[in-house]
Amino acid sequence: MTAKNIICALGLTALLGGCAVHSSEAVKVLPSDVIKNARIYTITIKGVPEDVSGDFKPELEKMLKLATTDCAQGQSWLNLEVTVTQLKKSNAGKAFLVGDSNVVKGQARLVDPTSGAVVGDYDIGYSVGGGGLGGALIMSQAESQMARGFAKQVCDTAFPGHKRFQRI
Amino acid sequence: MSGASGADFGQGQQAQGIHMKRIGKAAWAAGFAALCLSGCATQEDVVPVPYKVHGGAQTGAGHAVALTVTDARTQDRTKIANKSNAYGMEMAAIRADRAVTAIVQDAFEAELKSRGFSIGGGGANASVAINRFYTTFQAQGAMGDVKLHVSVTPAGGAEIYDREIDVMGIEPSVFWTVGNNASAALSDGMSKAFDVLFSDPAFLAALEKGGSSSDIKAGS
Repeated sequence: MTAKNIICALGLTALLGGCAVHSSEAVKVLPSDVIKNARIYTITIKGVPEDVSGDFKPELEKMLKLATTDCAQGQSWLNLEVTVTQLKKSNAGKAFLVGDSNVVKGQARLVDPTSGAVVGDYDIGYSVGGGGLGGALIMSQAESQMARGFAKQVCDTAFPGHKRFQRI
Repeated sequence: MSGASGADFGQGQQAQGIHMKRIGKAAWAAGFAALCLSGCATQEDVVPVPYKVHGGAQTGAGHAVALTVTDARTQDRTKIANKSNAYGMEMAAIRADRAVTAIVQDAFEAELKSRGFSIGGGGANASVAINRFYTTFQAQGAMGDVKLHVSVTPAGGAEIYDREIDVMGIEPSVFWTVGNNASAALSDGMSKAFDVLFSDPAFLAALEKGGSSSDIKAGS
């Protein structure tokens, strides 16, 4: 391989964007009939990390509302309780030079409003990583990106097979 | 004239072919570089979390201890770590080959027996709640976060000992974010947790008292 090819390869790699992965898992899966008929009544964000901005919590609440409106369109009401335990934001310089990632982790619990019983319980994990100019740009709006990703993960994990998102 | 044009055309096609091959090679190289950056972290690991008994002074003198271990984790409840790629993204899960309650219970029982306690009813009831049992991979190595809440209640009495234990086990200088490194960090974390617990005279006193209900403060 010539120097020209190597430079070309490095150039392509430097322009590479990023990719998203999830590490969400069910601790207690919703019964299948509940998955089909669920609708979210209230959303409570019980906790967020101390180092996030004041915009994160309302942004997450908005995204959860939009996402669950799309993915839970049934008639049985459930309350959604969310705790975000970690939000790691990428460093732009590091992302450009060697690559970095945005990571969000937390829990989502679905509670029957009449009995107060937890009917669905999920560990949510979502990250977007990448390198080069593309990666740094993709990861620049960490909090809104992670709020959107977390909300989508709640839907994808708790309500698998739902229709495509219309609103987020 | 037309012959020359045909030759030019042929040479042009050949040059274009070479150019396309070069682009193809460059694309493969870029893909390979991206693969190297992302790492091969997509396959789950299931590993044992071994524990080596430390032991200590024979203070048990055959006192019976009934042990209850519960899983009180509030996050990362189905795994003990995650593999991660070069960007720090969480990839495949790393899981213990059995329940974390069984792992901690066996380790705790081994420490008790090595100090002369017997396992069973009739004496003190020791309860352990596992609040955290998870390894993260950082620059300094694999960090095994172990948080336990330990309480001791005499048979038929009120709680006489209560303590939060929060330690960080370390498996230093690891390169791969794989199961063995994660479990080694947690093994070290358990060792540190039980070192803290069994070096607390109030804990040993609470176990020895068994049926007594006099109040004993942690760390006294």
